Amino acid sequence: MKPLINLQNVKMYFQVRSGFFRIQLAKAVDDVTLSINRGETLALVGESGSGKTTLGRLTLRILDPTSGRIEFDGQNITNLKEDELTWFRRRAQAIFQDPYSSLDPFMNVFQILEEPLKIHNAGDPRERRERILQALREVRLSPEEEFASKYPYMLSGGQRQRVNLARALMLKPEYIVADEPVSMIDVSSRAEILELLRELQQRYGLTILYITHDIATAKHFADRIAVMYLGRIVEYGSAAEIVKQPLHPYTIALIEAVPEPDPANRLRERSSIAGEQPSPIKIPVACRFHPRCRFFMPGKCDVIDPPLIEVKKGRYVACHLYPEPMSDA
Amino acid sequence: MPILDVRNLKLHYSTERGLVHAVDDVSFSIKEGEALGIVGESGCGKTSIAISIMRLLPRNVAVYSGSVSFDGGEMMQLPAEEFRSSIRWKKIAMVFQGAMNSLNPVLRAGLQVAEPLIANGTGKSEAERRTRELLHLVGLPTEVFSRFPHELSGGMKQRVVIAMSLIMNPKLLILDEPTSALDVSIQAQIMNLLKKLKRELKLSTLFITHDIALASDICDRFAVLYAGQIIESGDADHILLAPEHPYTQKLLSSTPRLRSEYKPDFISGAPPDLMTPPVGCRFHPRCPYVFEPCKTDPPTYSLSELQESRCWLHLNHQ
Amino acid sequence: MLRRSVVKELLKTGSGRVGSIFFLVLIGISIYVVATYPLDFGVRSWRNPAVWADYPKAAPPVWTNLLSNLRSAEHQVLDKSQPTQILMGETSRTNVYEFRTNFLSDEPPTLISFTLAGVTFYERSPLLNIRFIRPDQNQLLLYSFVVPGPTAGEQAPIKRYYETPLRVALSNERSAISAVADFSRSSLGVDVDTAQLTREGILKILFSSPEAGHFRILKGVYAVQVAVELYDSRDSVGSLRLVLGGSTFGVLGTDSIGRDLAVGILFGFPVALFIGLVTSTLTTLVGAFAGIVSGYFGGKTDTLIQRVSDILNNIPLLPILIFLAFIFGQNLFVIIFVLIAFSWPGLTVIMRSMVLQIKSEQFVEAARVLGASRMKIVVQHIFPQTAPYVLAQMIFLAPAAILAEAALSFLGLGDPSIPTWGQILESGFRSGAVYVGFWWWIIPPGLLIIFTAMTFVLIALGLEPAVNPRLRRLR
Ligand SMILES: Nc1ncnc2c1ncn2[C@@H]1O[C@H](COP(=O)(O)OP(=O)(O)OP(=O)(O)O)[C@@H](O)[C@H]1O
Ligand SMILES: Nc1ncnc2c1ncn2[C@@H]1O[C@H](COP(=O)(O)OP(=O)(O)OP(=O)(O)O)[C@@H](O)[C@H]1O
Ligand code: SF4
Ligand SMILES: [Mg+2]
Ligand SMILES: [Mg+2]
Repeated sequence: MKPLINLQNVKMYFQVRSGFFRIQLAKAVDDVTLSINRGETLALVGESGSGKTTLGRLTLRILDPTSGRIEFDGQNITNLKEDELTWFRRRAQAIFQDPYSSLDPFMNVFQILEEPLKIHNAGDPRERRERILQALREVRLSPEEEFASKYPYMLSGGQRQRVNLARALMLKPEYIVADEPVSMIDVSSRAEILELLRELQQRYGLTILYITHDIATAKHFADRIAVMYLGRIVEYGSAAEIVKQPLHPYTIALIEAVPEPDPANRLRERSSIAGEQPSPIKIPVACRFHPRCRFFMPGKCDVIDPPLIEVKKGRYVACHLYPEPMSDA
Repeated sequence: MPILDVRNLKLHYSTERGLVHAVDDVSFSIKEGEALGIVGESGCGKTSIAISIMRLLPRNVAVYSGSVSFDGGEMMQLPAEEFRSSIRWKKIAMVFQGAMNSLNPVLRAGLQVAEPLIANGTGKSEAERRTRELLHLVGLPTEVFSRFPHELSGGMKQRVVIAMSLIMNPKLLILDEPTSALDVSIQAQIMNLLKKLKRELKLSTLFITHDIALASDICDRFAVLYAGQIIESGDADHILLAPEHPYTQKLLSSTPRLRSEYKPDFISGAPPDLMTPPVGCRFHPRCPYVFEPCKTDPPTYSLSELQESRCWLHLNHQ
Repeated sequence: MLRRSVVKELLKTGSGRVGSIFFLVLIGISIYVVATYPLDFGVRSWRNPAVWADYPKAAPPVWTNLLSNLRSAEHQVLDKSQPTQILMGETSRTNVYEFRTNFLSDEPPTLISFTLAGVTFYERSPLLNIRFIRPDQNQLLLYSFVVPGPTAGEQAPIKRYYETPLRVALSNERSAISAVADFSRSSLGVDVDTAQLTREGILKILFSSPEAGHFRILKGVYAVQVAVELYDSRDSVGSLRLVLGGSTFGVLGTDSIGRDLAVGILFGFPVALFIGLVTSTLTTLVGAFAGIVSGYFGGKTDTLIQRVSDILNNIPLLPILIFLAFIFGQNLFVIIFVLIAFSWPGLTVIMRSMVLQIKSEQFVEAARVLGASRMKIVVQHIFPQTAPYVLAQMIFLAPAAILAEAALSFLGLGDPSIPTWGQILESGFRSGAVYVGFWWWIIPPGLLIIFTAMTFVLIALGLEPAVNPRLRRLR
């Protein structure tokens, strides 16, 4: 099956001013090769600043990559200009993290949902109205007429995220980037939004890039997980397997650090990763995780940058602990 | 004897649209050396409870009543000046929600930590010595003393803020979402630090968070807050493993778990508006077990020595 | 939604309500002035000394009489262009113009003068008789006059006093003096010789009656009848004016060349509003536009706009204005232009940072993902967010412009063809009004400048809750 999104050696370097004249490069995404299959949910997991959002924005061509190649449905979109991207804008959409800043406070729900239709000249006013009410029904904001006339400030966080979802669905896209869609709403409503997303995905055959720092939700709602560290994908494979048996030391540590509600927690030390993630301006040489790695092998990890290799079927890891494919034992 | 005992605390705000019942008749206590977790969703009144204890109220407070006794003494009757000079920061300290982002950007971190000491008449060099000791205790290299906030990472700033709260040797520490802006790996480090402080300094702690899994890391007992009221309280074992109130049960089953196959659940509907909370049980519009009595306010049932729940389902208990 | 809520918000606050009422007052007065004043008022009237020849110099307002126990005479300028009465004779017609005044002052007037303008005749020269009627019903023929007849070769219709009106200072006229001497002797029974009358003036006798050897001011209604005898049905008389000199004048008094300050100050209303509104509107347009372009589009344009605004922000305004006044002459439009040119950068800098912040909001990114063009994003999403702030800035800029113009005028750099409050203040200070105590010349224009500026500030304060995003979010 041909992937819907295909990234090859994609890099995104930002110029950041430090001091008066010095301009340095923040390597937010540094040589990523990744593909997302049609109809799947790929979770992109990693700590803050690891480049998840940047990667998501690259797949939406909101950013121009520094180098590399981005394909959508087999077509190269790496260097297309904004007016050559109209067809792509219809087919790729996004849901954002912040339910408070992702809706224009001066527009009501109807206007917010009408915007995509207006931009792409879809339908006459009656048809538009039909489609908007239909979309509100689909994200379970009923009574639809009542919600259509509300302004964002009248809605709860969860309701706003549904409006975001409805807006993303207005143009019947094939691909959706969901950038931390539930991290800013109450725990008790998160699963509801994710379930809804899942349901709509099945109904419309959507392909989803689910960006999150919460590996627990990734496990439950994604088919595959890609773990990102400092601009690189360090491991990816099926969601269930990664959680069950993480291979990369970073993935291992990340999973260990996640707490669960358990009264025994308070009686023991919580597992954590030493130190902090460095800035993308000062990426450590060779394996970029080596200063924090528990399995650090001097002379190897700080000398050679480990390539991302397939260690098992469908499981890729970039670490010197796995120099070659594992035998199934 | 508990170090902090809060009875029938109320805090209502007046706004243009009406009265916000942010804290509505809340009672709980904390024993010496114990950590109590107040958990609840956003806007349910957690911060309001904290500022009521600290008596750092905004101007639009309409109702502020109840009793707060600390170390055996009643605080509500204490004149404001006396509370300020002998209790706040000295006996009860607090790490505010988002405090790490409101450090003074033009003042060196060490000075900000030392400030209360100097203000209370400790000599400069003695204050500096104490501060360096404290920075070391919270796991910071001592050169942080002369750094500016923008030169520190998020985790380091959070440690500075914790050091600030400890500088006067308080007996009770209130932590309002101390790690919510941090990554899991940094969060784990901070939680380990808090555990160490609790153990070594015998600190009593009021830990406020919306994340029950995070709270389980440190809390010995829990009070679950919903719409300005405590709906269930008890020790960690009961609350986390055998919750009795439907809301607590739902909240726990909504928390995604990495190490189980159980899919996270959710509570449909949104938390109520505290301007016009639902009559009767405040959870009844979202409760899966709602039945006739729920339209009136349920009493708090003592289910055991260690657990209380405010729900009509316990009607036939005892 | 926006407009309605802003107005509602404004009327909710006390300062907003007071400010709105003041603003309506300003607008009302301005409309009245624009409707009734000639547009070239500055050149034709204010700066033309001939217009003010009949007015007293530096006279305080009439109502100051209420403050002192000796009531001084009010300066009165009475105009008539239609006869009060027309008497038809056999061969002639007599137009009678009657000027009446209720005289209540404790002093006689300082002068009495008569002006005639625009006489046309055919056959014979018209004859004028001026009769003075006192409250005690005594009367006298004060002055007679024949309009000069045609010169050699002059053709009917003969026109007189169109260019320069005839002005007769009755109090100094020899024939009037002897008429008063006769009147005194025959009707009042007091002998006065003409030499004494010439020295002391006739007004003291005309406006009083003898009482135990003294002349006492006679209060009551006086009438001056001017009878013009015309001999052809086509003959006509333009207008007449009678001036009774006094030491107080009008509602706001006069300045040192006799100008009615009330007239000048009224004219100042629309001018101040014009300066305030035009400058603030244009400044806001330019500043907001530059700020949006700079913040949203970035790149070279951004750098250029930032540099230009840096430079403009750091050039002192005053020397530039003096320099430009020197080159272009003192012109209100040049002043407004310079004020705009130097005030837009302030708004631009703030707008730029606001736009940068809004640009990073997720709803802007959402619009980009949807495929909205940059133009659409600016119009739909960015501008509306800044609109309340822009409005507030616009309101704040208005008093700033009014004060700036006043300051310039005060330095003598105002536009002489358009009188403003600042200029009135300036001429007051230049003539030393402050030292001599001509307070009526200084206080009203000063207060009005403050009042107008206050009006805008009150409105801006009233809008604060609607505009300040932090306050707005709290609700
Ligand atoms: N427009 C930009 N200019 C400069 N640096 C940028 C820009 N966008 C992102 N970066 C930098 O690139 C790095 C990766 O950022 P990114 O937002 O992709 O991380 P993330 O994984 O999404 O983090 P988070 O979990 O905090 O959202 C960060 O260090 C960030 O500061
Ligand atoms: N000064 C205030 N005036 C009016 N209402 C307020 C004020 N402060 C808080 N509130 C309201 O009171 C309620 C409780 O607020 P509080 O900050 O205590 O909640 P919280 O549980 O700490 O929420 P969060 O998890 O978001 O920090 C909320 O509905 C909030 O909007
Ligand atoms: S009282 Fe009723 S509604 Fe309230 S929680 Fe218990 S069961 Fe639910
Ligand atoms: Mg991100
Ligand atoms: Mg809070």
